[in-house]
Amino acid sequence: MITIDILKDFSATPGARYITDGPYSGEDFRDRFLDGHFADHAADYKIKIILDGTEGYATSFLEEAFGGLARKYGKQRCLDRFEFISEEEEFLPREIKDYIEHCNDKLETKK
Amino acid sequence: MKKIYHEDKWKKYSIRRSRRVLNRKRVSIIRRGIGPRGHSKYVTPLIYSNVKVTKFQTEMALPSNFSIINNPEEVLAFFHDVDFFVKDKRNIWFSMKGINNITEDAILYMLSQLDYHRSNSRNYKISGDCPDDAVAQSIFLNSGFYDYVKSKLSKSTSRDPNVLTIKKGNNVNPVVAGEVANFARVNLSRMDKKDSKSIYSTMIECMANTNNHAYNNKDGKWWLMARYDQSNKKVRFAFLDNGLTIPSTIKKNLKDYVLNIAGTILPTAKVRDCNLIESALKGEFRSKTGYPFRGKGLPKIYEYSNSGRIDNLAVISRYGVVNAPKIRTSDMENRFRGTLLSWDFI
Repeated sequence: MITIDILKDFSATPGARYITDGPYSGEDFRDRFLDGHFADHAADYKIKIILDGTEGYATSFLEEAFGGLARKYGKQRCLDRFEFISEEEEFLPREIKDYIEHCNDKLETKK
Repeated sequence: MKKIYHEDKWKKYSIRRSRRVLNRKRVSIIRRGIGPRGHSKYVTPLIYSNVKVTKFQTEMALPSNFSIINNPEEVLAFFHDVDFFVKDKRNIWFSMKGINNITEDAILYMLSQLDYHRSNSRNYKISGDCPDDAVAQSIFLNSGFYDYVKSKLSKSTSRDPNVLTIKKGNNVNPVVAGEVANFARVNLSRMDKKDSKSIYSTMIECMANTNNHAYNNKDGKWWLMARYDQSNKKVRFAFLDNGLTIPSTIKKNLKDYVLNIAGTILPTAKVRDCNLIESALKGEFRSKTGYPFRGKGLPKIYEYSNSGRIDNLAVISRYGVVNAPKIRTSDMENRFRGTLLSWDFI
């Protein structure tokens, strides 16, 4: 298992969705900290994400970081491997799982 | 024999006379409210009463209750007429002496309108004074308004710790959002970092909305300001962008199109702006991108309001006004240029 503490490893002030929106975006976080763990399709170790200590999170940051990852590598794979820790905002892990589960609703209905 | 009409003296006299006549006509046209110079075929009646038009200057007294949240129609009527005089290339004087109530939202809107005219008009001049009322004057001087305009008063003004001065940006700026959350923590001393998370994420949502929805060319601008109201023990926030507004950027559904067509015959059937804003707040699949995973910013802010994490949320965009958590909707007669979000944190 590896642990990613967003406060220590990334930023105390996470931003919005895309890199073009401004600094510390969800896309930036995904590219730098998450993508690498999913590039190898055989890898199945757990990834613990510590969400506490930051100023807060915008929905677009969380959706792009985790929902965006699920769009790339599949929902189930993400759900199986992530473990979210949030004592300050207990609803956050559920909310992030929700983003992962509904990450590509429209793409599926199109098919 | 030399003709009198060819003499320099006569030519100068003639030019002066024609200028005088033209100026008299312009003042008369403005007073009747037919239309600005060069735009007389577009009838733009003046709607704000407190205007004094003279030969050299147009003096406009700002509404005594200078607040978009509390007095939207009068304030917007005032700015409607400012547009008129700017188009007419008049020198405008904002007389603020009569203001006895001023709020953050109106200061931000004034700044955004000055910015709008700066980038859309040429050869105009707006100047003014500041309120006589002690409280209103203190709010205005401490707002940081003078940091964004040319002024002799300007930057030297001492700062009030109860006011977070105006911040301006064109991108998502997490550092500023963090400053806003910190400002609330310092003033509401019982609050810790955990409680201020909703402030931080609301700020980021607002900035992201400006960047993604408010402008077509991605050159969006936003302004924000916060003030601690000691008497009510709450922090009041205002966030404004002067972009394309919520009603004009959200995705319209079939019902909206049908109602808008019906509205050409029966005006009451037309989709109201406040209903479109309400729909966007409730997250009824209104993201123009067409992706359900987008457009969650406004619903999140509405959710904070419903859960009591923020109070007195008001959203004003184009003609619509929506107040939350108990949804109250109304439409205004005068157009608001952009989108304003205002809320309290207790």
